[in-house]
Amino acid sequence: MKMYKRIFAFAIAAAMMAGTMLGCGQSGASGNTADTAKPVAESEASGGASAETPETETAEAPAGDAIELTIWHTWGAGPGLDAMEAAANRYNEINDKNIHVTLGFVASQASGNTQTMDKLMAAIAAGNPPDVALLDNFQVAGWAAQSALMPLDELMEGVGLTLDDVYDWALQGSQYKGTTYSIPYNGDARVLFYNKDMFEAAGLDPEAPPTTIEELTAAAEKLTIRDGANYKQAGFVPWQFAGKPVYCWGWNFGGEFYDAENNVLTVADPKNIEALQWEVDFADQMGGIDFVNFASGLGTGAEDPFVTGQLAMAVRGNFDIANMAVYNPDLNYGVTPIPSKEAGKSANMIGGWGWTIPKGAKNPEASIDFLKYLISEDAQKQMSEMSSSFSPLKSVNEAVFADDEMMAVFLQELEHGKIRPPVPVGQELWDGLNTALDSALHKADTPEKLLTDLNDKMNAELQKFN
Amino acid sequence: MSGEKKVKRQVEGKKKYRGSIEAKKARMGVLFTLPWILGLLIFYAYPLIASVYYSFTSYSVLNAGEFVGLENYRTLMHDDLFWKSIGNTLVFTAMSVPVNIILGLAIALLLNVKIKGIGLYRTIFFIPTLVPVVATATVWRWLLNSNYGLFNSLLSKIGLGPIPWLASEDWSKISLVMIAAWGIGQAIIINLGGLQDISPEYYEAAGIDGANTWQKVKHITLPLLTPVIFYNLVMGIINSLQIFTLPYALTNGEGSPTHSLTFYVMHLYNNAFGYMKMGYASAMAWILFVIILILTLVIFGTSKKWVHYQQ
Repeated sequence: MKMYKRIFAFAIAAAMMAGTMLGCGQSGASGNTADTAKPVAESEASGGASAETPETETAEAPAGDAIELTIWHTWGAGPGLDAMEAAANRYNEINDKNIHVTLGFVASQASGNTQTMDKLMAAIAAGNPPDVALLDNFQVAGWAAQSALMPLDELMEGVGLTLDDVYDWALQGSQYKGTTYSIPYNGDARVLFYNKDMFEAAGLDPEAPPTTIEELTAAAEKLTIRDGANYKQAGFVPWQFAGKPVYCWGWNFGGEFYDAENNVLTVADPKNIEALQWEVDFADQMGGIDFVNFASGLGTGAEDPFVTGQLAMAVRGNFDIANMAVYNPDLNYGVTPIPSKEAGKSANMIGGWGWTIPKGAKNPEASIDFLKYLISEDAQKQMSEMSSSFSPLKSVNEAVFADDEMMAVFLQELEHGKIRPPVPVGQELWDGLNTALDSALHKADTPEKLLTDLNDKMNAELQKFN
Repeated sequence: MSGEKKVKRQVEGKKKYRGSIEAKKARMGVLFTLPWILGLLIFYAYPLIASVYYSFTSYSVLNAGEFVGLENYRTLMHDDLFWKSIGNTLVFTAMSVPVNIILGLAIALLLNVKIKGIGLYRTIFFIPTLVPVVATATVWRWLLNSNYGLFNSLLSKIGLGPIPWLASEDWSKISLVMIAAWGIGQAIIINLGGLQDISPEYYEAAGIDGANTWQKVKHITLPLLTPVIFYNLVMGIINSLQIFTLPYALTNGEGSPTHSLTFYVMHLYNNAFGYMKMGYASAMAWILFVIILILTLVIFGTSKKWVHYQQ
């Protein structure tokens, strides 16, 4: 008996120690994950050649020593990060100002959420921010409105940097109230992906994908195969992937979400309501709540329903192509502009990231030199080639993706892509739209009521920034 | 050492031997606990008190904001999601705490028997509490997936389902209670400790009087275990009201479907760090504090009636 007790006691002790080390107590509060998500300031990113920690570069350093820049980002491993590291390494080699940049992955405290940068917030508040931070462009306004970012116009002038050659969406995403707060880094566009084999099997022409909402719904109906509450195959799920939350369909129904001139959100635009209503009707047509439940269980990665041939059409971004190539290289698919209510009026959401200099950063002059390099044709070409992400520079995209038939569709879409409203309440609006979509699909309320309420609430929030 | 003696010695020490060994010891004692005291003051007490003030401001962490009086509290009263998240949190607590206490007790009783390899069984039941919550959530999200999940796949073999575990409002909280029950190892350990603290003499005496196993459990084990159940109840409620990581990781922070898994602290976190409304979030934190305080006081109030302390 004693022996068991001893083994048991040992097991518990070991377990508790392991528990402490993993930082996985049962407190239930956010503290749990804090330990596992420590910011990694020093990184292998810079190639090891000179991986000193920032601490070693103190004020005592004699003149002539390198200026150390710390860059924070939230990107996990992948081609995007590889490209970023390559750019940093290259800059460290070629810059003549003795500047040395170090990339640091700064994970958000909770889960893999890349949008909520609580550590950046704390660092800026504490007056000890990184030199440069990468933000999703729809969040730039939020940080700028809190005076957490440095205005860049003067700094840009100092190094002769302009954003004249970038796309409209890239410029809009970089500015707040006419002042530039970020240097665009990349972009991605959304189109309709469709499975040609499934089209053929359903008796649809694989070379004539739908161009209007009506055609899209009709095709989806033909491509959906039900078996009671189970779905063997679905034609389309409007709110899946990049169709989420409401932006994509609002725009494709001709709606707008923001009136920049009057600085008013127009979420309850009748066309947006019509779009959300269409999503609800679409669900009803395909089987109602069974269909909604089926859709919410669809997987990702290797279980991605488009990759597995479970889903015939999907609104997706260029960033999804790599995944398809990895998990199903034989997938026979095509891309086409997202179908719109009125033929030929296709719209799509452009996402993108930009570099910002937090308020209180110590080396803004050195930082802007680095950012100038990142937006240069050279650096952008490398970024685009390595990560298959689009450049904010049209010339670079045309050079890099010239011979790619599929990419041609994307390039055309980049021309008139839209970004989420560049307002300081962007994150809350995004979450609110997700809620509205979710509530509409579950019939908690009508699209009209949901979008009207959201519009009133968010406009009230927006007014606080005026 | 009796308390009286100690006090006497301290008094004497102060009177006669100022700066003596005793005083030096006291100084050293304070010095050695100073890191902890400072940590408590700087990292707990100060933010705690500061958040009272911030709850009356439009503080955003990045900006001091302005004093807005009761504005945050007023806005909260009209925040639908605030009410929904309170409802969700209370419902979850009401579901999860009893399940965990009953299950924790039942398993502890089973693990208290003297059989071969009991240490192994005890360890097995404790192991799930060691898995980081985010990992637990990721695994369960797959197990409960309505299309490819193990649960529905097994159900379909006997002609049932598919059950939309995490996809429907009707099921999502039940699923969460099920997942949360995975972490009752801690409560089991405490229950086991309580069980082993009960003197075997009581059982022997009851056995002589002809009591059967169930009678022993009912009249000896349960009453004598009430202090431990009381502890588990209070801690369970406090932890459940603050549930965050599990539903956050399970739903990617969205609390879907239809916010049925948006819990109080998730809404607080989104406001604080997503929408940069730390003042608003501070107000939320204090309301939660008051809720927890009231519930705890109520339970403490009832404890005299059902908690029996062994003499």
